[in-house]
Amino acid sequence: MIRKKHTLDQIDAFLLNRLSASKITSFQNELERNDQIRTLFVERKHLMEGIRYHSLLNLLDDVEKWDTEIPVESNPEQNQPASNDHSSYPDSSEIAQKSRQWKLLRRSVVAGIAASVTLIFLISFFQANTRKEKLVTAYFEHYPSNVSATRSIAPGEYSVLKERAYNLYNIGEYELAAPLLEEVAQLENDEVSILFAAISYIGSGEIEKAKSLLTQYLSDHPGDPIAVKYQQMIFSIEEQLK
Amino acid sequence: MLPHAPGPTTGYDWVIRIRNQGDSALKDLYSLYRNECIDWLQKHYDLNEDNAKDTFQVSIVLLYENVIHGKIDGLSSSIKSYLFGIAKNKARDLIKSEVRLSKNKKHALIRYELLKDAEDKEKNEVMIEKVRSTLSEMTDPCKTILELFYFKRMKLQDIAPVVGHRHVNTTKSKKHKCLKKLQKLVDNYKAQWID
Repeated sequence: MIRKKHTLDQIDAFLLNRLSASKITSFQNELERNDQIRTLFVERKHLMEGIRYHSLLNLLDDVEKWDTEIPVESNPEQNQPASNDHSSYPDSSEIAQKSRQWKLLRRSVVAGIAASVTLIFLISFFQANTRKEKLVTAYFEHYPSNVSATRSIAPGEYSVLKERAYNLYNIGEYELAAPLLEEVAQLENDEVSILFAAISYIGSGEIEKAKSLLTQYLSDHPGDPIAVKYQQMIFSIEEQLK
Repeated sequence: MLPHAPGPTTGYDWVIRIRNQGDSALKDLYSLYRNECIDWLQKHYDLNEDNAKDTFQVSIVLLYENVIHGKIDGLSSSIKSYLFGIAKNKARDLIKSEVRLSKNKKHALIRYELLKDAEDKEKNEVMIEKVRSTLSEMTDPCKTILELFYFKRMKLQDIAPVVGHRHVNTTKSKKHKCLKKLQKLVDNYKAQWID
């Protein structure tokens, strides 16, 4: 009985991340060896996940209530939370006032230096990036999608995702289309979407991702003219950037 | 004496404030970014207003959980970036069939999060739902002790005064009894389910 209680305490400590590194290793070894402990572990994990689910839904209920209770700010950037109310500072104390002024001055100087360094970094970063973007724009051409993005894949569940991905691609929203197309390729095992994901990544200036997807596509479709064309375009951009 | 620090400005300030003040800090965060995040989700993820609101509310809940579980103790970005990052992932989860086809999308989003790494999703889903409903029917102090210990990750010595126990050992033994009771109820159900 005591032994079981101790084991359960150990399982709790493991699941709540309260064991030291060395104890974690020895516990994991025991877990692998001992079927009885493994059963207890699975049971306790289910209980914990259920308690977690219960607590998250309770919190969600509270959050839903807030939506009707609290005045929602129309422009969050200009409205700080209540605790940011500087009127709560003690105004009567001259020392506090001076201390605050000194702190503000010190912060301004630090912020000024930080801003200058950031500005220099950003200018150089954007110069390099603008050049890359210009080259991408100069070379990039939208390859027409003749992929049927309809709901023809029914009863599969992902046709809506595919439709959305190709719609975004067709209107030139490459940044949004690319990850969705990658997901379509994975979920529907649709190789053509790998190619369109690569093209979208070029369109959004993410050349490294595009390169890796094109390589993946060309390994299954060696010499595919569209993939080769875009791969050459990337090589040419990289050559110019050297 | 130095003046009080102003409200949270960095992501880390928010983490500390949420951990210390709980709901009130989370409510401020909710109010601060609600409209902006819902607009952003509608614009960038093609969500209708209801789905965008659901996504935002679930994101707030998951952010809270990450704070109390110490997952973002070293947060270097702003809380806004972190919150919008969660919202972005949840907007993508909305496309998944197990969420999209569900009646209550908010609950489905949370279930999806809980089960995403589970091996046998179907079995796990039934189990966590059973534990949840059984726990809902349990009375206090069991419910509170289990929630504070396993969800809020509070230590037993901190839970004892909350539930009115003078000695931590009372809370410890109560916790064991409550868990045993919960396990028994779930086992009974499991037996019926397998039959």
